[in-house]
Amino acid sequence: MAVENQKDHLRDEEEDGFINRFPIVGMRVLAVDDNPTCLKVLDKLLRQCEYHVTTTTNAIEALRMLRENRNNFDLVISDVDMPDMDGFKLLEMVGLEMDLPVIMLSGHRDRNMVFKGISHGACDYLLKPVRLEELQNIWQHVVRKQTTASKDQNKASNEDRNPNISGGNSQNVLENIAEQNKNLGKRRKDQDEEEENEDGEGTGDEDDPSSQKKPRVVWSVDLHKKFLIAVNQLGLEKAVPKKILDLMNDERLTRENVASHLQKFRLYLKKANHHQGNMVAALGGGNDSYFQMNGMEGYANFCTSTGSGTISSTGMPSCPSSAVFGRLNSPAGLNMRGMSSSTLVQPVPSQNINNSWIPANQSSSLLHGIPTQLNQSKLNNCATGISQLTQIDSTGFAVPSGFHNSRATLSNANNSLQVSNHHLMMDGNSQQTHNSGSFRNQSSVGSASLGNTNAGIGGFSNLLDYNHCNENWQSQAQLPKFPANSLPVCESFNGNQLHPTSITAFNPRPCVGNNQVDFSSGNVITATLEDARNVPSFQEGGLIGNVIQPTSYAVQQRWEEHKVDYSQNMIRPFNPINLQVSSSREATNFVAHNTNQSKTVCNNRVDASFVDQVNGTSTSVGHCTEVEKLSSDLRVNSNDAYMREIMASQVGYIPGFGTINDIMGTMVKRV
Amino acid sequence: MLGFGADLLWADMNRLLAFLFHQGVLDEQFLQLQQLQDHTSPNFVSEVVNIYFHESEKLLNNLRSLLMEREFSDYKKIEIHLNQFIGSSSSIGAKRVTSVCIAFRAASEQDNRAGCLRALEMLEHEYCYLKNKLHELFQIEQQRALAAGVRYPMQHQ
Repeated sequence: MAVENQKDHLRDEEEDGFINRFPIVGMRVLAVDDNPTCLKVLDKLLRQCEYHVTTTTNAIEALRMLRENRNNFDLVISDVDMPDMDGFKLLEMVGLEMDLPVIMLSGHRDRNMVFKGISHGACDYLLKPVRLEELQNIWQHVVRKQTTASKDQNKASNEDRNPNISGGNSQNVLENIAEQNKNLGKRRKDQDEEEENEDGEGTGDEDDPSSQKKPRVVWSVDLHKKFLIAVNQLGLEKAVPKKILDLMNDERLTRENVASHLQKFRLYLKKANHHQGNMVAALGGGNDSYFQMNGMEGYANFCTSTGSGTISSTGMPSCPSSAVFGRLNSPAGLNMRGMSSSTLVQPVPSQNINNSWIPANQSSSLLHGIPTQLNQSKLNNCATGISQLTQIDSTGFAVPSGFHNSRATLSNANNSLQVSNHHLMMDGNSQQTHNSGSFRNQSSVGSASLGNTNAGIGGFSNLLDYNHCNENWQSQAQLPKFPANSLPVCESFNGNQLHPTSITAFNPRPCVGNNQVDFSSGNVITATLEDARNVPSFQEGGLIGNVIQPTSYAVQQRWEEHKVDYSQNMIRPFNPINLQVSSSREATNFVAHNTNQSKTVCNNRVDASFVDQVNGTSTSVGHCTEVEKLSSDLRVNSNDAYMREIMASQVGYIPGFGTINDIMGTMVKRV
Repeated sequence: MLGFGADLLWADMNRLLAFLFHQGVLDEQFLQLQQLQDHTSPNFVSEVVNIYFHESEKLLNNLRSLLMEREFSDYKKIEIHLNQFIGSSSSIGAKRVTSVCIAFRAASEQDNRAGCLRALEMLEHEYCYLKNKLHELFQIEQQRALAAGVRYPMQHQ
C-alpha cells in the first residue's frame, strides 16, 4: 500500500523482468460507473492493487478524458448500465479510437450481456461486486495487448527480411510469411475487430500496432503492373523487395509494402504451380506475358473490389447474372462466366481440367463478358482478389472469375494459364470462404484490405494458399485447406472451375469434398465469429460468411443480423434454381443475380429443407435430386455443368444438414 | 476504565457483526470493505456506507413513486433503478437487501405489479433494518475509537 495515492507514476520497469515495457505498479486505470457507491469501492480496490486510478461517474466525461490524451491511461473499467451513454457504446468507442483494453462491469449475470460485451471488444467482463483478486489480474489485459502489438512489429520486420533472404519460392520463406501473416491476422483480429483498415495486405504496413496506422497501400492495377514489370525484369528468383522497389520507383511504396506484395504473389504462383504442375515452367521461366497478363487481368479482377455492384455491372455485360447479382452474386456470376470462358478457351486440357469441359460454343458471349469485366477495374483497392471476395459481395467472387477470365483470354497463350485459372478458381472458391471468414473477422466488409491480405494481394497468394489464409484467420475462417486437389469433383467436371467459383459465391464449397470443408471452416469461423464484431460484414453479402455461418453454431446470432438480407435472398434464389434446373444458364444467372441468392444457394445446398422453408415449396429437394442427375450427364455446357455442380455439392452437404436446418429455420422464422 | 470500555465496545461491535453475518444481512464483501480501511483512508467504510444510504434513499423514493402511479407501466425504469440498487448493495455486502432486489427485479420482468409492490415493501423493510444496524455498528465503532484514543495516554502513564 505504499504507493497509493501517488501522483507520479510509479514505473518500476526493472521490477518486472519479463514485462520490460509495462509496469504493473502505477498502471493507469480509468474507472467509470454512475453508481457512486460502487465507484468508491472500485476506486479503493484499485488503489489497493497499486494502480493509479481516475474515476468518473459520467461516460461522456470519461471519453473526453480519454480523447484528451489517450496515453494517459492504460486500461478502462466501465459499468454497462449508465444513463448518459450505453456502456457497450463506450466500450466500442474506446476500443476503436484509443485501442485501450476495456473491462466491463455489471450487476447482471446475464450471459447475453456478457456475450455482448465480449463481442463489442471487451477484454473482460466482471460481475459486481468486484473482488480484489479479480482486479489484481486486470493488468494482464494491458500486457497482452502490448505484447501482441509488439509481436506484430517484430513479425513485420521479420517479414521484410525473409523475402530478401530467398528470392525464389522457398518453402521457408513462404512458411515464415504465412506465419507472420497468421500472427498479424491474429493481432488484427484481436485488436481491431471493428476496424476495416486493419486487415488486408501490407502486413508490413502496420508497423505501429498500438496507435498509428500507416495508410494502407492499395495495390491498384497500375501499381501491380509496375510490380510485375519489375519482377519480370529481375526474374522471379532474383526479385527482392529492395530491387523491385527501386525499379518501380513509386514513392508511395515502402520496401515493406513491396515485400508483402511479393510474398503474396509468390504464394499465388506457388499455388498455381502446385495445381498445375506445368505452371512452374511458366512461372519459373519468367513468362513475362504470363505474369503480366495473369497479374494484370487476374489482378484486375481481383482488385475489382470496389464494389459488389461494380464488378457485376461492369464486368459482365454479357452476364446478366453479374449485373443482378449484387454483391456475392456478381462474383458468382462472374465466376461462372469465367469458368465457362475458361473452359471454352482452353484448347488444351490441363491436368486438372477435364477436356470435355471445353465447350466451344458459348464462348463468344462469355468471353465477351469476361474481358469486359477484366477491364473494369475498379482495381482500386483490391488488396487481393480475395478482398474482393470478402467484400462480401461480389468482390470475392469476382476474383475467381477474374482469374478465369484472365486465363480465358490468355488461354491462347498456353495451357498453364488455363491451368492456373483453374486453380485460381478453385482456390478462389475456397479462398472466398476463407475470405469471408476472415473478412468477417475483420469486420470490415468492404475493405479490400480485409483479410484479403491472406488472400494474397491481388488475391493471388490467397487464392492459392488456403493454408495461409487459414492460419491467418486463425480459428476463424479456417477454411479447410483447399488444395486444388481437394476439389476432385470440380476438376472432374468441366465446370469445375465454375464450380469452385460459383460455389464461392454461394458457398465456398465447390465440391462435395469441399463441402465438408466448408462446414469445418464454418465451424471454425463460428468460433472466431463469436469474438468478432465482424458479423456486420456479413450483411454486405458475404456469401461466404453466410454460408459459413450456418455451419457454425454460433452463427445463429449472425444470422439474425443478416436475416433481413437472407430472407429476401432466400426466397428468391431457390425458386429460380428450382425452375432452372433445366436451363442451367438461367439458373446460373439467377443465382448470380441474387447476392442473397448466393446465400440461399448455399443454404439450399446445405439444407434442402431450408429451401422449402424459404420458398414454402419442396421443390428444392426435388430440384437437387434433379440436379444431381443432371450433373452426372452434363459436363459440356458450362452453365449447366455449373448449375449441376452447385446442386450436387449442395446435396452433398449432408453433415451440416441438420444444423443448418435449425439455423435456417430460425432465420426464416425471424425473418 | 476507559480502556476497559473500549474493549467492551470492541466486543460489542464484533458481536453485532457476527450477528449480522449470521442473519445474512451482511456478507464477506463487507469484510473486504473493512480490510480496505487503513491508515490512508481511516473512515473508508463509513464513507462508503453513507454514500450508499444517500443513494439508496433516492432509489427507494423513485421506486415507490413509480409503483404508486395510477397508470404505472414503465417496468423498464423500475429495472434500471433496481440494477443500481443491486450494484451498490452487493458492493457493500448487503446480502439480504440484494436478494430482495433481485426478487423485485424478477417480478418486474414479469410485469407483475402486485409482486413488485410486495417486493418494494420487503425491500424497504430490509433496507431500514440494515440501516439501523449499520448505524449501530458505526456508533459502537466511534465510541470504541474514542475510548481507545483516550486509552493510549493512560497506557503511557
